[in-house]
Amino acid sequence: MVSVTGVIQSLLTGTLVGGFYGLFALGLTMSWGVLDIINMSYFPFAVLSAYVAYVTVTSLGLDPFISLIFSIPSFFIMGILMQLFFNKFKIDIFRSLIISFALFVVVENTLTYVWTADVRRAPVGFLGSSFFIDSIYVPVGELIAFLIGVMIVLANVAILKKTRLGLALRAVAENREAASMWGVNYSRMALMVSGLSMSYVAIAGLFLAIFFPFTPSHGSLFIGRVFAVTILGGLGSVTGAFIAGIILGVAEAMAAILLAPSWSPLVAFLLLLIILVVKPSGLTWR
Amino acid sequence: MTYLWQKITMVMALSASFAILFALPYLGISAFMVSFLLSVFIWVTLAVSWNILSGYTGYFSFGHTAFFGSGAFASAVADFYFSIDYLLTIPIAGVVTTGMAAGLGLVTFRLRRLRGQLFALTTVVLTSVSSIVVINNWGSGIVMYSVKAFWPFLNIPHVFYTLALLLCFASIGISMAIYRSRLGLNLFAIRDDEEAAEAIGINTFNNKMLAFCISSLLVGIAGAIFAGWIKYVWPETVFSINYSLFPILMSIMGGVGTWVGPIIGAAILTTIFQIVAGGEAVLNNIILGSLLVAVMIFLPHGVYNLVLSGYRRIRRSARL
Repeated sequence: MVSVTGVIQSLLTGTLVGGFYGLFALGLTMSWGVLDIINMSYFPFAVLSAYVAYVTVTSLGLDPFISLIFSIPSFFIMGILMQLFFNKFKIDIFRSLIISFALFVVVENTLTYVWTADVRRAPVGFLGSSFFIDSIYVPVGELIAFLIGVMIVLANVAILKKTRLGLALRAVAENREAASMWGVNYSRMALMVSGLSMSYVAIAGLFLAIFFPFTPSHGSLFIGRVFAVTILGGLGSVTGAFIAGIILGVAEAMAAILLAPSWSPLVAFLLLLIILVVKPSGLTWR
Repeated sequence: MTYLWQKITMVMALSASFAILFALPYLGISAFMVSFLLSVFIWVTLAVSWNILSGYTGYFSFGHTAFFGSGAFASAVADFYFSIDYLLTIPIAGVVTTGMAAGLGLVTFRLRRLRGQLFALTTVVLTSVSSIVVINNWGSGIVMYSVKAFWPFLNIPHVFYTLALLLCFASIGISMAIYRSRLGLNLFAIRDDEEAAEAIGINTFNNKMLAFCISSLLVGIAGAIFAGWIKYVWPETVFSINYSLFPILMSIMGGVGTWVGPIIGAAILTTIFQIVAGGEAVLNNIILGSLLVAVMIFLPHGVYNLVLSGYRRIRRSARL
């Protein structure tokens, strides 16, 4: 029989892990919803950012968060370069899927070549510690990640609602042609969004390094979950992706205590299929 | 008249090459050559079957890894846990993968918005999820025992060679038949403009579903034959992402949407891999990914269409 503490515990763990899924899905939902590019290469790039964090901790002896100083600017530039490439060859959404899938393979295997397929674990100091509230286990690192995720989402919403840039962005997501008729410079906006998405990927990669032991192919473990979250949240919706991440995290944690944990990846897939049947447009929060 | 003549030549060429390939292992070619040809047959099957759905309708599938791996594991599980005769596990694998495809198609082919994108994505998700579930349950792999016991009167490696050869030619035949049939015309109509196809009364759901089921059936059988051939089914080998990637690369390289293209592409690529083989697998994958990007950008219509348009240009200038 499942105890009450067990249920509360898995609700909490599910929420925290779900925040991570949501964070991972931010970049993807932006580039898919706004740019019409499904970028599969975000998965190995997140792992690259995890390796940057790993190197920062082990070789430089610094806090893993310091790695963001290196990874966010370089990922931003990589995002811009990628978008320039997509613009140059006029890549449509299908070819973007295939090309970024090929890029996925290239990046993942380059990571394997450089760092080998060994499992790495970044020593994380106090981020790895935890405390108890009434016999409920609360991991500090995941809590911090969750709060940072919430902050990013709130900042994003503020930008989208309050600034001219946000207005232009929403206009592009709604209708690209009409937006450019009203004077939105689409290609500059696209560079910006692509860079921003890659920065989100860098942040997600840092948390990947903090929470999980990882290998170069670790990104592919999240494909199913992240796509389920993206579609459930509604394309282009940052808030939606984050909330959908929490829903998925809780659903998985519940499945793990009610059924066998080895089948819990199926939860994401079933959830995805159910959304597609019931409400294909996702739960869109704007 | 010329059409009929073309048809007869085609059938004769195919049956002649089948006869030659069937006889080859008994003519004393090396064991290495036999296994190389066997892998070529499997790759041709995968490329051709990918083309039946994705090339003809434009619905890109990344699910070949899921179907290939699940086919192999269905065969291995049926063999190991239920001790079913290997030959019977082949249709079982086919039924399992067709069931998976039908389930996925039932949901995704009904969509009205973003149908192509969402279909492609759900196949990616299917691949990732099925491999995780198999790794969680049978992560250390399954050894197939009973394969050794069946058909004792035949030389074992040639049995798998023959099975793969039969499957390969069956897929080519099916693909060609669909290309020339009403189903093919419907599929092409879906590729060109799905709304228009629906408007003139084509049942797009049924046609897509049929194509997807045929495609995944062939892949599942290929997985079962592969499983019997290597006899040790391990998740990392049969759920390799290459089984999704190579058929796409082969079809695009050869010419998507034609029935000949994937065969040409598969032949070219397997030969290239044979030449560069011996290098590290990691480096090979890097080269492969870069190659796919280059082909997508510089040769989007494939070798077959390139040759065809060149040939037509020559003929036109000769007539003038």
